[in-house]
Amino acid sequence: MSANIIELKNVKKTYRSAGGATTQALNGIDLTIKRGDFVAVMGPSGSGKSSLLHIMGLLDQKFEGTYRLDGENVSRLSNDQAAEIRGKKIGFVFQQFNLLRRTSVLQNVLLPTVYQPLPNAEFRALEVLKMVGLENYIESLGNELSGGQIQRVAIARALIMNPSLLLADEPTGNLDSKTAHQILEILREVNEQGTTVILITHERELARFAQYTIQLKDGLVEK
Amino acid sequence: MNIGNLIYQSIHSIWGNKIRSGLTILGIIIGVAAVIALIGLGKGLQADVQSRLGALDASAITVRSQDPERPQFDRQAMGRGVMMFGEQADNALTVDDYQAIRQIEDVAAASPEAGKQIGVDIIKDAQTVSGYQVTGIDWQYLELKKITVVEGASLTEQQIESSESVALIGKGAAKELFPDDNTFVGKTIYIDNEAFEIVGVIEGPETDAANMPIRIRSTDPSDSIYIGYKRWLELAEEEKLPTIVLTAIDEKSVAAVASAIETLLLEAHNIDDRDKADFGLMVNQDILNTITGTASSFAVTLAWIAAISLIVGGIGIMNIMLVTVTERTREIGLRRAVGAKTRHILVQFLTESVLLTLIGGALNVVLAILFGQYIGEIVNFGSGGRGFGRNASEVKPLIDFPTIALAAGISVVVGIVFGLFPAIKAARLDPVEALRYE
Repeated sequence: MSANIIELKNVKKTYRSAGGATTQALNGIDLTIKRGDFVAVMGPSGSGKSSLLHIMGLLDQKFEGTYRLDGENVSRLSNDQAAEIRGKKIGFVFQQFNLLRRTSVLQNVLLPTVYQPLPNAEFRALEVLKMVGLENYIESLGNELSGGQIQRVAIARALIMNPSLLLADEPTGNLDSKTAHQILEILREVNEQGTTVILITHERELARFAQYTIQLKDGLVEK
Repeated sequence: MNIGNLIYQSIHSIWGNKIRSGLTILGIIIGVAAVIALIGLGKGLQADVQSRLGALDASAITVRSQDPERPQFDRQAMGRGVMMFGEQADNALTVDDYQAIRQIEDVAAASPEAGKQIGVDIIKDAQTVSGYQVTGIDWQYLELKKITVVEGASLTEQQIESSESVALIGKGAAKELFPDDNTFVGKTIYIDNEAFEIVGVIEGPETDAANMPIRIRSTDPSDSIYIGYKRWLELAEEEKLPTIVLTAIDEKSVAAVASAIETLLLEAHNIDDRDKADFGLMVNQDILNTITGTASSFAVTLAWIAAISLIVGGIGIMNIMLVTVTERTREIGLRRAVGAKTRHILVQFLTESVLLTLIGGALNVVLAILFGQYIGEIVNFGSGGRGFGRNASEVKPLIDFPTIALAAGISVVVGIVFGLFPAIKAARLDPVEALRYE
């Protein structure tokens, strides 16, 4: 098992618009994140935070440079290979649209197990729901929950496969500060139990929950 | 990803958009119901035509005299089974022709059928105005035409050969001529003022003829009088016969027999060009084939019409699935993020469209049975099934197991065919784009 969960070497990302114009989102990122870290990634709008998250989360395979995830080179994967690794190793918490509406909390948490088998999936779902404090809401529907509850369900879903990496993209962007703090407390707990957490945020105050912060500017890591 | 979960998710999604799903299913119900009903109707129509044609003997051949200039039977059209009734031609068939035809291999039975309207009465010199159809026949005629003797006996070969003045009388004609009597054998009738002894009373086969809105009196054996053909030639002052009817031993020999007759008659009549022949052949089999063929091509046409309504239903499916895919773009992105592969997304949306069509297919089976019968009633009413009070067979749509299985099969195929494009579109969505979709 590699000590580094993420190793990025000279990663570049270029977007081409339909008109042919190109935008360089990432200009050669070198980044190493150790297993078990809780890292905040900060930067102004357009600094490449989202592009970096998509690459680290294997949602985007079209980039230059090398990416080693858990010691494994994942720079050139097919869509389905990437999907398989995502399902097993990476949990996501997004800013919005995290849950299927009209679908119960339990079913939402079980969603990843639809695509990759997990023994005793329901038991595990209850376990992670207990961890985020929603064990009494398993039959509630996605559209009946508050914003904070939705993000807690999303964290539970991200944890069900027991991933080595949890990527949270502005998970508290739509929440009041009290609820935001609760969510970050949960993320800290998750991290304390061994999962590497990468938090993308633009709020300096929230970044304090992380062990350290990586600052992005113009597609580069600010030293 | 197991089937139970797929179906659960699909039902969940369909149920989540009840009105939209309901309307889409309605399109499929109409499409598949149209297929079942129209195919059923087509089959019913074929069955009806076949039952109506059942009385037509497929091994029968009719040889008729024909004006070479104005053919009654268009020989070219004959192959397609088209009958053309032209003007009455001069009688062209000789007794020798008839005897020769009898000798042709595979001819089972033959007889002249020489009919003429002649005054008939029960007293001599009665100045009768309206006549009866008096037909000259040979001894096998009754067998050929499925005519039965209800009293007395048929004409014997001996009676016919020696031109005896004996007659068979139809039951209806007998009743008209002798209203006060119940038995007729032994009575005398005067045909063209010549005395004939009734030797038998006959009755025609049960046909639709008796129930026809317009009753063609002369063609009904029950209203006709039959005498030996030789005696008929004397009486009618004719030398030749207008018509010879015959049957081949079986349906397979019909073509060979017909061809042999044509060769024989062309040679006997010294005609080189068959288009100038003074006779025509009418082969029932051709007519049967043509009518059955027409019925089945009609059924095929109905099936095509039904297919079009099915395609319209299918386009409805495709449309709604495309809307669904667009609406659920972010959901697709989320599923991809948590590990769904392209095939998972493809199968999920395909399952949803197939389930939509299957629900439609299942619902319509019941509806199509009702719908089909309703159509059947309209068709029967329109065709005069009741109008003339006749007991004609009705067109009954046939909704059988193969048709239902077909409906289910069609539903699945429509679901796959029209769901495939939206499903592929969903599966090909880029996860990043999908997650960003607003």
